[in-house]
Amino acid sequence: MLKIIVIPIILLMIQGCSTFRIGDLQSYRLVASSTNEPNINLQSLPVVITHHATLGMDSDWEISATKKAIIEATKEKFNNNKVNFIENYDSLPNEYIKLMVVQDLAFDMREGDFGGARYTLAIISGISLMTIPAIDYDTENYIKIVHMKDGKEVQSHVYIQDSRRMFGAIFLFSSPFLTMNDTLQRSLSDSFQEFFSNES
Amino acid sequence: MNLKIATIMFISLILSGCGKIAYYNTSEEVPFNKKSILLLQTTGNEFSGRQGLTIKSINDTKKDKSYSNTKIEFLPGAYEFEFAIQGLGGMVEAFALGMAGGTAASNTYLHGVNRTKNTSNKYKIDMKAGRIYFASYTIDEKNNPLISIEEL
Repeated sequence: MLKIIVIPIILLMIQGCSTFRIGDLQSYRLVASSTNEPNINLQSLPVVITHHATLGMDSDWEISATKKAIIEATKEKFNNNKVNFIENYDSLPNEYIKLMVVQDLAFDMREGDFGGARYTLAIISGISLMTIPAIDYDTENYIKIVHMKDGKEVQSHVYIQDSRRMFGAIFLFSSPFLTMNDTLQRSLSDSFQEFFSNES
Repeated sequence: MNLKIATIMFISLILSGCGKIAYYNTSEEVPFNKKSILLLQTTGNEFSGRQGLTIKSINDTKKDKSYSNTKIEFLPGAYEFEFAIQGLGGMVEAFALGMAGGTAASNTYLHGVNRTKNTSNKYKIDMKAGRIYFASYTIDEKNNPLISIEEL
């Protein structure tokens, strides 16, 4: 009986029948604007992207498409053909938007995060049909948007958003089936919205 | 049956004390623009296991509990780190073997990772507020880890 319940839940979990609880967007201004630049259209500037993740991108299948997801989310806001990763630029423009995307994929059972009990708790949740954090990533996305001009930072903002993957029987019918890349795209979208609301 | 549930809960409570340290001299409440974050690189996947950097000491001080393998937060200032390469168990190993000893042994077998492989050098960084630092590694032909730390 136990096997009949636990095995399907593990299989569904592996297939991605889970969702993320997405946290609030935190916003920090690192460099205050030194000049009042009138009506500059930042959305037409080239975007130079760098991406770092604490887990190697070449390994987990779910994050292998991360770069594509970043480009897609960025092009929605910067509607031009000059959105690309830094390695694709021969030289940097005089004025551009530097977009730094950092993903911290916390898979290592940190303090205050159910500690080492998460594997055991996941099994208990499978048996009891409760909803608790799954044995998967908590992610923290750091989005840094910098307006660069003549080699200097004019504006620099950092946005932080975390998300925790959940699973449980009650999600099987209602889950939006968000992936890590979906949560990253949402963090990017929220960050752009916040950044441009500050600029206006 | 009640005894089994009680045993599982008891094991959970014991394991809950094994969490990794994500804050050195700061806390979750300190805002980002008043602290520095050090991220550590890992490769591998969640099913078969991973290998990655871990911190063995900060300013010559070793702690009983191990630090997080992905992120540690600091107050701004100069710090000296000693790193090591560590194998981390995946889901397969965790379910099949359970406890840390088994996971460590299977990682060494599966990935050729020596958990006690320390770096020979100490790395000093002057960490600034509101900045993220990323420590990554490569393995040279003599099987020695080469660490690089960059400010993002």
